Amino acid sequence: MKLQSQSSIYLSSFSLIVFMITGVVLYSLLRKLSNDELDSILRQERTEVLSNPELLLIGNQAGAPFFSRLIATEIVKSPGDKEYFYDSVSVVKESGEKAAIRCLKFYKSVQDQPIEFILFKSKLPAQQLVHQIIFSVSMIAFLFLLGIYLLNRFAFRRIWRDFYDTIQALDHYDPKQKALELPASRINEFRTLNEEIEKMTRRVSDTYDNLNNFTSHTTHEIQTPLAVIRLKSELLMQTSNLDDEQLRLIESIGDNSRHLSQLNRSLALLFKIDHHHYSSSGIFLPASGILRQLDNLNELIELKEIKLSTILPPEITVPMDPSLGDILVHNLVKNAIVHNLQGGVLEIELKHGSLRFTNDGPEPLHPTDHYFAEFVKGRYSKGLGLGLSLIKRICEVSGLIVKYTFDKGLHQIVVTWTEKNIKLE
Amino acid sequence: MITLLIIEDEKSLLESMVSYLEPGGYRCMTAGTFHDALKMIDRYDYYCFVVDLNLPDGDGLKIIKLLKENQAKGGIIVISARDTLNDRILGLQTGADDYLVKPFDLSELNARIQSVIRRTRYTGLNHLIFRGLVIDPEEKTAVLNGEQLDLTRKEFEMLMYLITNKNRVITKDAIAEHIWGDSIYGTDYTEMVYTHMKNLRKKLQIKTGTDWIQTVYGSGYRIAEE
Repeated sequence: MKLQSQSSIYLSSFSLIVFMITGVVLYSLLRKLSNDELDSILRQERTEVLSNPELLLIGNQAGAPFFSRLIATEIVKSPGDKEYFYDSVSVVKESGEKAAIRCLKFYKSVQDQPIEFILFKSKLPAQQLVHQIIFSVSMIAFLFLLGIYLLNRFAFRRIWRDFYDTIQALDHYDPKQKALELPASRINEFRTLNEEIEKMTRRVSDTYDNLNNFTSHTTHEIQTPLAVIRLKSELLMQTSNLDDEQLRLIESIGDNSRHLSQLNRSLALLFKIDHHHYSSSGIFLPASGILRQLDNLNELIELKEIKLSTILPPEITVPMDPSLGDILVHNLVKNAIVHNLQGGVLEIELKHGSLRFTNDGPEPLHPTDHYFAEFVKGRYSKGLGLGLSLIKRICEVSGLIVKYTFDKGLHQIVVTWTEKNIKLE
Repeated sequence: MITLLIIEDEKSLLESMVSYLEPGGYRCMTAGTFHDALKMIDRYDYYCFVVDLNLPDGDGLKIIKLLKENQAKGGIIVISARDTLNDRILGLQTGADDYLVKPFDLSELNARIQSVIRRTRYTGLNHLIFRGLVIDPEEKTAVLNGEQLDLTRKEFEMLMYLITNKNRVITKDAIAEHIWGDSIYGTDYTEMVYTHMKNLRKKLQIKTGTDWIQTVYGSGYRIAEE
């Protein structure tokens, strides 16, 4: 969720609650005030009634304005000097409309005849006032919320602009570049943040450069001694009178130097990919590369009795450097064969925009994503643990997406790309 | 005598190559620098030039250009640590006949040298004869006493490789890399080499009556002259 929406939500929920409470309190307060007002009018009128009830009974209104709002009923027994207020509803005879009224009931004996008096008064004017006030308050609340929204929308952006600029710069940051240079912000906190980020990226870039130089020098410098070891061990093997143990030792030296060379070569390749030694453009035809590798590893497929099925339309192209494409499909094919089970299946399906490898294999020890990291090997792997990381890196620099999943005993690697309209000459 | 010129600045590598190649019947001339190489290239009628690209005082590709300009008769093999497709293409386009990435097996270098010499020099060497077996590398046939051996392509290549490096111990790794290329690495190729070798031996044994191929303890093989 965006920072802006988050703060808007908090602010508006808080305001809404405050306004609702204010509304409720205000409403009950006004209601009470208007009732009190009505009650005091009714009480005053009652005093007038009581001062001269006979007059009222015989119909002499004596100009009393409340005569029409008085109901007098003869009753059998007077309950005494009781009086009480209550709310009721009156129905206008002509229209049948209902109106809220405030009533005061009291008793008085006139010429020994107990009479129940009810004085009432319409609450309508008071209610109208309450409604108007509530409406005004609601309008204020609405304007307030609108204000918050507009403030958030425009002022917020202005205040946080530097922060968002920083985020965007970080998003595009690549350790291969020099350290980030961020503009100085007017806001202290953001200025500090930018300074710290600059320092951090400087360190990251330095570390990256150092590591690169180290890798580059190591891979280069290690080549010759490795070649020497391999050649010398081969020569040593040719000398006569070697016993079995000596031959075994030499063989082991040769094996390990071969392993190291291969490791070195793969690391150098990863290094080159990272440093854009390969172009990011070109057209690669995967079908022929895959078929070549399948042919090359044909014996291994036969030996493992792998059930192979392929759909490889030859005309499908991938927009990428062809030599990288070749390395990619070679690794994909090899991976799917080497890690396959005896008698397992291997399906390769090439479509417009995607290449899918599905194969049997032992259950992965780690979550599948882990295998894209360097030196993470499969359970029985004799390789270097660099195959999948090579695949991943090649896809990254070529703008392809690679996904590796394991489901129901099947490993699936899918590479997808955006088809461009390229016409082959 | 077949004379080679090996241009390589790393002394240890140079010595190893010479030690392996000379017992095979070659005369090896060597040059450790670009300038030495320039002095050496006209001195003999070389059958093959083995050129390292990274020389301390110059680029091996320039030597190849010069050899091509001088219309040198020998074949040219590049040995280099530069292993990208573009490097290989560049080397071959400049005029090299083959490109071998370091580190390599000496047996592989030997096989490449023989192959380049066969391809670039006169036809007298086109057929290889070993213990009465006549091998035509172009046609990929092996004939013994007028009878052709029924070998698969890979069995033939294995036989050729062993004969090219006769009397030497060749490891299964070197054989695997020779037959399947370095993409075989990381796969379980021992079994594959073993299967092919077993079939090849059987076929040879049926025709010759003896097992020509010796298993050297561990995982190497050797084919010996009588």
